[in-house]
Amino acid sequence: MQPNLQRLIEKGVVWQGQTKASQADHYIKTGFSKLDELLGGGWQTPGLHEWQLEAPFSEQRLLLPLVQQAIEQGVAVFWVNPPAQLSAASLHYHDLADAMHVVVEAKGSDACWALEQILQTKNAMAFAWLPQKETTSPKVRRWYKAAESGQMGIVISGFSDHPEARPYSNRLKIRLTENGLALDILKRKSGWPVENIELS
Amino acid sequence: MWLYCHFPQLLLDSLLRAQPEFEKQAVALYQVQNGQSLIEQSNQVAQQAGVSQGIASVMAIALCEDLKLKEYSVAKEERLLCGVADHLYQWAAKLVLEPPQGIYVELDSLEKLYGGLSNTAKTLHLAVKQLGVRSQLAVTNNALAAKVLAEADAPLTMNDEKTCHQLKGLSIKSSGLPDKVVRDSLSAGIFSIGDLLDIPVSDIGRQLGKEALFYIQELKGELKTQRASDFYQPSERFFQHVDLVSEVSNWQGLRFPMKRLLNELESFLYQRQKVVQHIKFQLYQRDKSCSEVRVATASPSWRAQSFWSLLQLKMEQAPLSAPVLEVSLQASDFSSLSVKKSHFFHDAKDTQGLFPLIGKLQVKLGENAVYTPAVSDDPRPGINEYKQPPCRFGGFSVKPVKRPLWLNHPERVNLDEWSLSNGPERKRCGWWDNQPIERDYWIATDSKHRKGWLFYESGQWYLQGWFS
Repeated sequence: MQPNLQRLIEKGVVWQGQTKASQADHYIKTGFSKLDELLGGGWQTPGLHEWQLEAPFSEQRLLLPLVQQAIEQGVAVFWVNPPAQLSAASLHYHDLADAMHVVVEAKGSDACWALEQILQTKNAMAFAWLPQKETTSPKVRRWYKAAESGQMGIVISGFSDHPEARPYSNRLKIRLTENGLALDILKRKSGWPVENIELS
Repeated sequence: MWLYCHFPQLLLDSLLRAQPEFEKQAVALYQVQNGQSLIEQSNQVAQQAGVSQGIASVMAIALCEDLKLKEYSVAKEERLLCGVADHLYQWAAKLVLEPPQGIYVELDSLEKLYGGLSNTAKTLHLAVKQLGVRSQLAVTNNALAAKVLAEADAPLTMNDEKTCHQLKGLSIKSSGLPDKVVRDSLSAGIFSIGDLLDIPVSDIGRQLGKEALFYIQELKGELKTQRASDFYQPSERFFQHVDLVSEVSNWQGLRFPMKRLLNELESFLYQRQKVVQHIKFQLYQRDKSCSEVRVATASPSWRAQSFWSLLQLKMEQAPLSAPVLEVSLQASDFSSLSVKKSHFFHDAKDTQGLFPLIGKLQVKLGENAVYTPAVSDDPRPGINEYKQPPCRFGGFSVKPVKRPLWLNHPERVNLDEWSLSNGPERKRCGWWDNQPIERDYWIATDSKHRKGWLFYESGQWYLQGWFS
């Protein structure tokens, strides 16, 4: 590939056309029909998705429907480097406590290593809270390759000021609003980026 | 019928099996007897250089400069013999140990199982070969005769006449009789066991003593030695020990012996249809100190590979603290393979991959870093939350109440930055363990539209969790 083109791809200014998702891909509903439509059916599985949060603790409305469906499918949920103590009482309240929550307390490279191990393991779903500086392109590529064997992972981090291309399936910016959520889809498999999606 | 298995170099062979890199070097074991250091066992390379059993260690070094010497220990060889018996127990139940180097196997009870005497002997011969140590076998209807023939390394045969002929042809020095009796026999012109058998029993007692009398009576089958009560009972716990030919100062050098110990554990567990979760390696150093390496799998396992992959992670974490001379592996607290314990993954599609993953995470990050959140029936928020090891499922006895997904250590907040929406939920409890609380809990929204869980106590507002 030409170096100039490679540089443009790394900057994220080139949209690369893909063949239509294969029949083997599955989608997990996001809990919002509008978002399902925009993402081509929901969260792609296998896949690796990025949620950039405007402020910490803003992910719950997207997270809980995903955990619910993971549990219905008999998949173990791993919480890597969570931002605070995960409450068993809350999981119980949301009817999510019946099975399969494993919290992994690790920072930095250990957390990245743990995420890769989890994504390589069948019947596991991973949520990982990592700062932008940890989610370098080579690491994301490794996680993406690990997830390709059938798993789904969500990397949750803060807003990126200078977004560069990363091999995530979908990249979302998430803001909480008075009425619910507002999203910018920075990258999606099924189309161009879109901004200011209101979900309530 | 009896099969006798003699392992003439059990300790040395085991040493070399643990460190095969020394097989091409001259290695010998010495023992100090009456103040003199004598060679007890030597490998083929050493024997080719003239280092044989019974010569002085000084002489051995003179014959072979590169000779690696290590002290012989009867206790260690006896322990190894128990390991051999554990292995043979898979094929034969009636084993009698003859420490430190021999095992009797009663064959009559096995003939039907394996289809005749010949097949039984062949099966056991193969089982012994699997051990990878030098062995000498003999089969006869007389246990003592089998022992004498095996120790003399007579060719294995099932033919009674041939064994009788072999026995009679053996030198009196190979009889296993005490040295004094052998000397007396030789001076009386008795050179072979055949010569001894030809003498009337009454004369033997008078000429050579009681020991020779009992020996010949047992050999003739006139004196039955009761062995049934000594049948070997396999140990209920696993303990295996490997001596190293020379000090090992890095993990790389310990990989082979440690893997071998794990394979032996796998075989031990497989035989008993048991599983184990915690195992302990002990690494013995020169100054008699000992360091421990503990490995625990997420769920009980019998597979060597499950423990090996975790052990490799431990090896990567830190270099070996000091050079190691011996390694042992211990395991106990076995559970039955068939018992299905309730755990978090009871409904998962395929849990096979999850347990090794959890084990791997625990080894690399520490056991406390990988857990499953759980809740007790304590009414105090936060205090009721605790961590439990992953893969255990205790069920929930408490009624579900709305609680935030994320819990913080309470931190002071300025209420001006929040707008209260739901509450209060009053909590006044904890008198029973001197951690009383008197709080009013509220759900409130901050300027970024996040829902927090606040409480008011002693005139101050605190944030304890997040709903958003």
